[in-house]
Amino acid sequence: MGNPRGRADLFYQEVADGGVLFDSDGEKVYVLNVSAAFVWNCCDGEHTREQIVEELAEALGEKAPERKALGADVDKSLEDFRRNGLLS
Amino acid sequence: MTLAGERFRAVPTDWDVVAAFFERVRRRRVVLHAAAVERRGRTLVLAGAHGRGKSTLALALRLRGWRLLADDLVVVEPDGAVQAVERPVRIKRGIAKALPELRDGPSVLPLRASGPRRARAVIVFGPHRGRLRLESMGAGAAVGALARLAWNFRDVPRDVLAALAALTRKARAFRLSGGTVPQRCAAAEELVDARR
Repeated sequence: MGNPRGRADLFYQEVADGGVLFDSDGEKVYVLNVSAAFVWNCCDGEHTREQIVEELAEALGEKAPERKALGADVDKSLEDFRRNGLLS
Repeated sequence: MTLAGERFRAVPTDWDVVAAFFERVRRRRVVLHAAAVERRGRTLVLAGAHGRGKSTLALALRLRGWRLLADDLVVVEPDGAVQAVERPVRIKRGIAKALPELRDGPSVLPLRASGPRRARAVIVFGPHRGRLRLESMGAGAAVGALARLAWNFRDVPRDVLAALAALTRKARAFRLSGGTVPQRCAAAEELVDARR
């Protein structure tokens, strides 16, 4: 499986506490928390899962949970994106 | 021209106002299914699907001295400022039942035009039933809920999401459900009077 890449036809908007994704095909709106929004922004086909975890840890700084928990958060976001058909 | 002894003044029909309004704002702005009220220069947007009670609350607040800016349509500008659409307000039977003070008054209320302004808070209406609940909403949840109440969301989703994100950067958002009309009024008053 390649690096995660978000579908190009989705509309993404950053908001004060994360992001909002709109899928005009399914007419669904997805609300992303801060870490899910960060993961989404890394779903460019270039970042590996490990790089996403690394960059999220860097972005969260001292607030970052331990690496294992952070990895689980990233996996959950990626799984949610996949399950909802948001990745290409 | 006089009619029945009173000076007759041609007023735009409801449809004229709506058509002119859509022509003006159809691109780049959000057309939100919402009422707007103001007290002491503080604007509160009441957003909700048909029948959720936004007009009733807006008119109840008007009876308590608030200025009614709009009862059904509010435009959100790209920078998040809100502008009411001064569409005449019809006092429907259900509203007159909930607010007996309006029963013997006019069935249509004209509204004065108002310019764009910053909203202090946005209330998204949930179900009527149960006890009063007023819960703070995160910006993402608020944008998601408001987008579903935007008439032109499917036409210009990117612009709608951007304008709503700007709105929620400046205004706090709440979800309101349940409660009686007086309880809802008291909650609205508390919201706009609260220190930020």
